[in-house]
Parts: sequence; structure tokens; C-alpha cells
Amino acid sequence: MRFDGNLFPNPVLGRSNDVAGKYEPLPPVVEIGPDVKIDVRHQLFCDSIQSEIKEENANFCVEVHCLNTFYRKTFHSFEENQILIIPANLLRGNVELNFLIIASTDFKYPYSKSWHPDYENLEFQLSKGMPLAYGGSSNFEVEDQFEGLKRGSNFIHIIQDESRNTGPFEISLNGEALVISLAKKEFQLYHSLYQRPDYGRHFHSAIATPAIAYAIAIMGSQSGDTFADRKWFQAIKAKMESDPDLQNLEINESDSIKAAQIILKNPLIDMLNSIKTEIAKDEDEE
Amino acid sequence: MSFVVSETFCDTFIHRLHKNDEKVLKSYQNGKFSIPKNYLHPFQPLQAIEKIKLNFISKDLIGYFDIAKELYEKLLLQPAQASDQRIWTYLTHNVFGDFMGKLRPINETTKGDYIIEHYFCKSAKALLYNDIALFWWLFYLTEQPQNPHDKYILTREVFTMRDYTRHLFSGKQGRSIEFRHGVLEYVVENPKIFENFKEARVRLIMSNLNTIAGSTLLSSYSTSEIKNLINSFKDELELCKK
Repeated sequence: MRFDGNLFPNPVLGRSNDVAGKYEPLPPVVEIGPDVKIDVRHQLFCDSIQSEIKEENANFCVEVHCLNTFYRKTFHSFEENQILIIPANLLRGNVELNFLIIASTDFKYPYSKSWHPDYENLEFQLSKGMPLAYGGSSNFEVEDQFEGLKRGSNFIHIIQDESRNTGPFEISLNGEALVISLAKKEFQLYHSLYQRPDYGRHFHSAIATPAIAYAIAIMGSQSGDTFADRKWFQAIKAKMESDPDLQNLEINESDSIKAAQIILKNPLIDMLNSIKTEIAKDEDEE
Repeated sequence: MSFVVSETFCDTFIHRLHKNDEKVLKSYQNGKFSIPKNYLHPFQPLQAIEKIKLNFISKDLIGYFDIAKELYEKLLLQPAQASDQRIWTYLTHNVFGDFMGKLRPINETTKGDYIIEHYFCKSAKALLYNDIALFWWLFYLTEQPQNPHDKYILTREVFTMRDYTRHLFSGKQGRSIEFRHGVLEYVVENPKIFENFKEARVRLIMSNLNTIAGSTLLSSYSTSEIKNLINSFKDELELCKK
């Protein structure tokens, strides 16, 4: 069920101006241990829907979806406070949460004055599972917990391309991670310099920024959805949705270079400062 | 000693195969490719299945139920582990390399993307394209531990038709256990309806349920509610021939 532009027969709170009121779940508190505990506070300010929940015609629900492990489950509650417990070994990587209020049974949904005038004096026969309100989505990451299989959480990997001695770096979006492939000579230089604390941010500016910008542009293109199940795609999408500094930007080509710099926390300024420090050191030595 | 491959191996060789890098492609094409030792990491759980002998029967799934069951029962993984590309990439290249060579042959015209699709596991969906991963996941996704008569009754059904892997498991709906078990139970409990035109009729079920899912949260339905929903268009199913 999608809420971006989808048409539903009945008015849905949270979808354009169908219904007056608010359904604003607080950002969930997630604790990850042997179990993943998700503390959800649904916040509903709409009397007509409140009364359907009181009658048990409708309920709050959280749909949990982990693409990597084929996990999808809906948790129901008639209370605004809801705690979900999921064994951590059922989840890996990005986990998406969708917040909804849905019909818990088939029932006649009577007209309410809070509805948009287009729905005046109408009533709807709802079936179980049909939405009354949409409260948006949220997501979190579950890292590998198994000895022998732990990996870096980074979604960018830099590798050596043994087939080329030197030349421009290449970006590959085909694997789980966003892979930047450096020719042999460049990789060896990179490898020898990367560990030095002053230089790490140079690579963010010169290598990671264009790579992430390219990935965002592809995500927003027509072929973008073909990469939706990749770890790098999920990581960038989660970042774009959760970082307040990124929320006014779109996943598309024109916003891509700006978004990439924000994701990497403006690496240009760090690079310029580091160059300035090096020049000052050289001048002092002279 | 059993192993898994490293992430760097997957990154490097997926990149080179996608570019159809001549040197790498040739080593796969002439059957001489082996994973360089520096890309291998010890991983104990795979030891339990290293002696399993997978013999090629045909491209259909149906003949592999028993051996896939042995693999699933001996390979004690949690879903979070079993979604890791490094396990399946190692198994398809090394432990079951001979079997894979017959099931997914590589010859002098084979392109890099074909090798990536069947010998690696670059994404969640790719778990259904890598045959060894598919064997394990079909059991996991359809097992009914509470069924006192046959906990693999739905798994047997899935092994009768490869189409399930494309239409039931790869979509968003099939990720809900109640949904996928509901669809499979309906097929198993109504053998007469599916005696003929099974492929077309299962596709019709998926198409109708996907339409309903456009305005209804079907992951909130129980298995029996999913079956009732399918039963509401039983007449249409019986008439469906393609």
C-alpha cells in the first residue's frame, strides 16, 4: 500500500487534506540486543477516528519490513503506547516502520464533519486492513551480530581494480555496497595515505562526494527502483529521510551534489583547512 | 576448515564481471577460476554441509526437495546470517561448484552478468537467483514447525513449480508469513482447482491479491483470512486457463 499519490475510496487522515486533525507518531525509541525493542507512541488528534478505535472498529498499527531477511509483519494496538519485540536474528540492515490506523474489522465508516467537503454526507463500507490514517514512516539499522560474519557498516567500499595500472576511478552500483574502484597506482597511494588522520577527509571530498552524488542521481532516475534492494540504496534513502538537513532535498540529479556533501558533513571545508595547515607547517619549517 | 568469502571478494569480482573484464571472465569460462586464498575467512557453521553431495538432476526444482531438506536441516543459520551474500557466494563457487557447473553452465560465450546472477548474491532478491541460497530460503519461508503431520507440506508444494519464486516470494506481499502461507495452503487444500493451469491460476491469485493490496494492508490479515479472500474469487480461478 503506497500513500504517495494513491487514491483510496475513503478519506485518509495524513493524506493531503482529506481529514482535519493530526496523526503524528513520535520518533520510535529502538533498543537493539538479543531482541529488538521498539517503543512507539502514536499521537492522534482526531475525535472521529479516536471514537472508531474506542469501538474497536479501528486500531493503531506498525508495519515492520526488513527487505534483507524477507521479514514483514504488522503489529496492532488499541492503545497509543505500543511496544514491539522482535528477535534480532530475524533482521539485518535497514528496517522500515510504517505507522497507520487501519480498520480492524469490516464496518460502516460514518460521515464526519472533519472530512473534506468533497466527502460531504458520504459513508463508506470499510473492509479489514483499509486505512483511516497514515502517520508516515521511520527506519533503523540492525548490524550483523554473528561472530565470523561481522562486517563494516559502511555502505561505501573502495577496492583496487587489478586490470588497470592508472586512470580515472570507476563507480559500481551493482553490488550490496557502493563500490569505488581505483586503478592499481591510485589504490596504492590511497592506501598509504588513508590512515593518516589529516588526509581522510580529502578522500571524502575527492572520491566519496561524487560517488554518492552519482548514486543519488541514479536513485532518482527511471531505473532507480532496480537498485532498491541494495544496501547502499537503503542506507542513502534512510539518511535522506531521517536527517533534518536533508529533508528539503529530493532524491534526484539536481539535488544530488548538495545532498552528497551534507551526508558527508561538508568535507570540502575540512579538506581546505587541512591544506591550509600543511602550507602553514611548510612555511614554519622554511 | 570451512570458509566464507570476504566482502572485498564480492565487491571486486562483481565489479570486474559486470565490466566483462577479459581476464576474470576467461578464468570462469575455461573452468579455472578459484577464489584466491586472501579472500577467504574461516566460518565454522558451513562445516556441517561440506560433505553433502548435490547431484545434477534437471533444471526443475522438483527433484531437489530431499537434498535441499538435508541442506536446510544441517545448515543451522538464522535469517540474518542466511541473508549474507558471503555464505552463498562461497558455497556456489567452492563446496557446490561442480553441481553449479552443471545447473548453471558457463561456456565461452557466457557474460559476466549471468555469473553474477547465479554465482553471487548481490542483493536480497538475488537470494532467490542463487540456487543454493534458494534451496535454504524456500524451506525457511514455507516451514510450518507447528504442523504435526508434515511441517514441510507447503515446501513440497513450492518445489513443484519454480514460478512461485518469481511471483510469490520476490514481491512485497509474499514477505508476510501469513500471506505466503495463506496462498500456499489454499493451493494445497484445493487440489482440484489446481489440477490444470496451475501456473496461470497462481498468477491470477497474486494479481488479484496485489490489486486488493493497493488499498488494504494485507500483512494485517491472518492465514485463514487470506484463504477466505482467495476463495471469494474461486469462480474466476476455476475459469482461468492462461
